[in-house]
Amino acid sequence: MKKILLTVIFALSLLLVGCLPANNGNGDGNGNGDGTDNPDEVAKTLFNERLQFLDENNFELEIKVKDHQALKETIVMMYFDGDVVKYIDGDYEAYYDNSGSKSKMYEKQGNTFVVSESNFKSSDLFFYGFEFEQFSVNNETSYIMKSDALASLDGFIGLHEAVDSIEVLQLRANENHIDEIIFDIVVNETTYLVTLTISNIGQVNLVLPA
Amino acid sequence: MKKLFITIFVSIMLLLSLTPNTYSANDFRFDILTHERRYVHGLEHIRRTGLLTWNEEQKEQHYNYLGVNLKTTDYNIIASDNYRPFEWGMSNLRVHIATAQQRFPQLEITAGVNGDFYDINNTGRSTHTHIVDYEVKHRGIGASIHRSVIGFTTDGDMVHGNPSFLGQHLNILNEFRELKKRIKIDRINQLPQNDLEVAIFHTSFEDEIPEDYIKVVVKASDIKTDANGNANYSKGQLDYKTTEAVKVGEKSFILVGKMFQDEDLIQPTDTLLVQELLSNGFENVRHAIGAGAPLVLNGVVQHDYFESLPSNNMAHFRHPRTAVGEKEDGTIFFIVVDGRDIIAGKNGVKYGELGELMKLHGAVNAFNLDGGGSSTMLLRNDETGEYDGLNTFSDGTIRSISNGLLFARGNLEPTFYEIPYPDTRASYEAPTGLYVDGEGVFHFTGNNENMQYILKINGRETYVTKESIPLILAAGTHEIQVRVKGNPNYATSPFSDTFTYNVHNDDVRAILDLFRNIAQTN
Repeated sequence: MKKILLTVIFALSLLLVGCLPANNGNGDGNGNGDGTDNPDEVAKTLFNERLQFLDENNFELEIKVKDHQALKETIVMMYFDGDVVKYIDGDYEAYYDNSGSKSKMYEKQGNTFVVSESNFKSSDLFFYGFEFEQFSVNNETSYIMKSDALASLDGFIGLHEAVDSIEVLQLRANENHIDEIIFDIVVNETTYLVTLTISNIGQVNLVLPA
Repeated sequence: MKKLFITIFVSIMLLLSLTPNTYSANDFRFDILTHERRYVHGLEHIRRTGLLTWNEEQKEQHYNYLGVNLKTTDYNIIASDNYRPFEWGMSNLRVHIATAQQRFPQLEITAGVNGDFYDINNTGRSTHTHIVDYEVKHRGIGASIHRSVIGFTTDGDMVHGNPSFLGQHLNILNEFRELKKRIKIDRINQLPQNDLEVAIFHTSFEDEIPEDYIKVVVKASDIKTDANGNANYSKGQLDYKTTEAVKVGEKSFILVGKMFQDEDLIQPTDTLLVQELLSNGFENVRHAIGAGAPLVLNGVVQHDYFESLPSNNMAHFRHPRTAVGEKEDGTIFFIVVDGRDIIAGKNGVKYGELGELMKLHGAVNAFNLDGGGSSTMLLRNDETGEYDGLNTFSDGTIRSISNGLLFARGNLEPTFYEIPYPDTRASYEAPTGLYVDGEGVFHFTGNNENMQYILKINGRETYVTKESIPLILAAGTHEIQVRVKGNPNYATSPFSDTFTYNVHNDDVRAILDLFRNIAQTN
């Protein structure tokens, strides 16, 4: 009887062992490719990959500001192509050339562009400086900025005295890259919802006005 | 011989001393008790109290003066009312100003006074001629020695007297209010008697207008009738043309004549304005209202006329009064004298006293306007944005009146000038290079030879004469276009491309500025 029980236990053990996955990889059976099997490292790698496009700095950015009280939406567009950035607000059009030591602004005035030294303040990095450790992974395509990391945005919002804080910042991603950054921003004690939509990565071609 | 000279001299002196005083300026005296003078919006405002002596009577008086030179400033005088379509009406001068501001958005209305006498107990119709921006809304009572018409041309000339009437005329105005054609109306509610005649039919004609005649059925936007029920101002747009038999419908009128077989003569966008054609110096009058008695003519106070009036005439009694006057240099001024409050020293004036007061302030010509409770003088208060009453309203409150005269700053849009028909003019080219700078000033490249433009913002059009215009717009998206205005030689240009201008509130601008910061440092 004892032998029978030992045989059954052994058989069940074999069965259980047979049910274990082949390895501890990322589920595709090929491991994570960097020789590590830590889930955090996997998620961090994926996060960094999804922000990697910022190195090339070639993308389109739609900025949508929603006023909850007035139920009004404001949409402006920015286009990034390396050192050149284009800003469009209605028919207002401006280019920024950051290739030199000082940024130049080309502002459209009628049929010509007027060149001036940009008078905007030097900015902190905002999404250019996002790091994995600042976020909690919400699900495979969404990250929430940790509340204690929101202070890292103070340098960005501190550029304008009317801006009080940024709250509840979320990144949303598709398979390849971050495609939305959504946050509440408090200005003069009023909360606005800002949605930044990233698209056309690598497809923006800007030429500075002659 | 010496004795003879002395006798003659003494006789002459005796004769002079015994001659009774006649009414002359020497009899008039105004001893000032208080006096304030200030300039507001470029207008001279004087507030005075004092003792007015005339014809051996002395009374305390309180009055206000407002004046400006129309020749040397950008001021105009415009006529005001608040008549609703198809009727007359009464509103107080503050409402008149609001209405005028809507009619002429390019003008800045700073002050005004009440105008003509009117049908206060019924329709609110003004007694005499009423013209607003060349539109003769009321032809008036015709020639009268007791009444005058005060008109103002685009150049700031004051015209006074009584217009003569050349009959009703059809004015065909295109969409730019240019006069395509002016056609005399030969018959009213009667069929044309030949191929050259034109007739107008109103609802008072109850029968059918027979077939075969060429008829232009006009959908009226306004019809005004005089005290006898005659429609002497009819305005509208083409509804349809027909040769069928028709009856005149409500709020419409019908033009009949062979000349309307010309398909191009009347377009759906044209305005059809049937009104009196004025003459006797009033041909180019742009704004006009009726007035009462002349107070000063060619520098002479009209005492002889006042004395000729019956003893029960209002001229001989003291009341609050409003008057308009012109000076030799082109200054137009109004005076409103308070009255009906003797305890407060507000006695009001007789015509003779008012005439002397107008002359005292330099009037070469001056006219009495409606007075009593109608006397109103308003001046815009920049701090509150409201129009403050300068005079004391003798009713205790501001009275509803028929019309008024307003001081309005800015450029009057050229309209009603004749253009060729058929229109063979070449068009101006549309402006280019539209943009709004960081200060919110709109700029464009227009036409150096004709700096007259129509600025359209979100569908609302305004006449402007500059190529840089500060915009004060609410937060939101604004569609801006501009076109060069036509003249007798060139037609109005097409509109420019649309410039979309987003105005952000301070908060949103702060957010967007954060991102513009990113633009230069990525």
